[in-house]
Amino acid sequence: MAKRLIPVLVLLLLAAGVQTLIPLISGDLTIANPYLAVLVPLAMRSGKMGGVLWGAVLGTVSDAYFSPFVGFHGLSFCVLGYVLGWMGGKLLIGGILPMAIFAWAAYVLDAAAVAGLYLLLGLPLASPFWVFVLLGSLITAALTALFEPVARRLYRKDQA
Amino acid sequence: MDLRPTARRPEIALCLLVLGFFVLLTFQARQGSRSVLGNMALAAFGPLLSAYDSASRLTREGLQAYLWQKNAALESENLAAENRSLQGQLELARPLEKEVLTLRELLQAPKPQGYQVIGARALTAYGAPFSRYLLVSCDARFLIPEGTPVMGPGGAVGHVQGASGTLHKVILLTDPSSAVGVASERAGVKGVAVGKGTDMEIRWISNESDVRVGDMFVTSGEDGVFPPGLRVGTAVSVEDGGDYLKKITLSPSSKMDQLTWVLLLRKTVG
Repeated sequence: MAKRLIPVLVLLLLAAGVQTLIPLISGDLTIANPYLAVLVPLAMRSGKMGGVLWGAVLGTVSDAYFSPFVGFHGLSFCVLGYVLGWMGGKLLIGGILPMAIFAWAAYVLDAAAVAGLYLLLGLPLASPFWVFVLLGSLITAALTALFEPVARRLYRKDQA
Repeated sequence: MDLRPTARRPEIALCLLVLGFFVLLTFQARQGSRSVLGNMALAAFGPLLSAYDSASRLTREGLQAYLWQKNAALESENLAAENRSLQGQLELARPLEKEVLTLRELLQAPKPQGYQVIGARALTAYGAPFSRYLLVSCDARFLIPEGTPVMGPGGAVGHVQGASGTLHKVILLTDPSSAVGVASERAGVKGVAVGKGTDMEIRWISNESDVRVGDMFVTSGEDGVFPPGLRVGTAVSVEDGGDYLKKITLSPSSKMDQLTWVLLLRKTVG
């Protein structure tokens, strides 16, 4: 169990580090979501149950950073974690580019889900919303491309 | 109660979590503030957020302060250089402005009819203590005959006595060898103004003549050198003499030691 947690903790630390450092490079880069970038390789390797649980944890952390209330990203990440875990079990996906594409799609879906919840709760959305979503998805995909080789190496060690 | 088969089903976990998050969201939205869980999450990640915020602000504000200071220093240097340049230009412009004013005054002075007016640069006054000359320079195209009258902004100045190339020697009205026929503007009393060095005296005016201190004397035109009507000077002292002739001292209307430009009045043919 402890061995299983090590790669996750390393990825979480990486995400937290990136989250802390990117505003220093540019405040505009905060539209990226490093926790989602971590969730994609993590959920793809953890299965449906792991995806849901890590989605809940990472979503809650994301909410603590980005949202006025806890639950927006938590809910969305749970669903995304489940879908990604399911896909990880069905498909044999490797390589940086496919992971980046999954991350891009996950960001867009997450944004759509969170926007839906915002509207449902009567909260205003910032504009231009979809421009930010597009930019954020591209940067998050790039972050996933950075995290994926780390995750691959850590999980390989873990399996060995 | 065995919950293991249910707990292992990810779909149930997903539904429960989604439902839980949704209920949590609704509860928080109704409350209008962060929930206990939200506050706990914030408390847990607070130090990280503070560290990020402090580091970010320090870097950004430090960079901005540095850039501002650098720009301010550069701007200050530029302004100082510009200021020095402008001061230099101002120093250069001052004599030009004075010269322009002199030329304007000279050009606005009334010119006699039948004379061609030729501008000449007054170079230097010389000849003291015995004589009072002025060296002027004018364009070599003009032939300036001897005896040509010279006027300045204040009136008559003297007449040309000799030339060498573009340079001409002018005998000033204050030179002891200079004599010019004058008449008072007020009463028309005529006499001859003779130079005394710094001022002039008027001779050949009888004690009975009406001359007062402050009377302006102009050229009468009877000496055959100066055209009539050019201002010569103002009477500063008037006394009756024992030889039936008044002793009148005249202060020249032109400031002979401050001349920069003069006009040579050459007679036109016909």
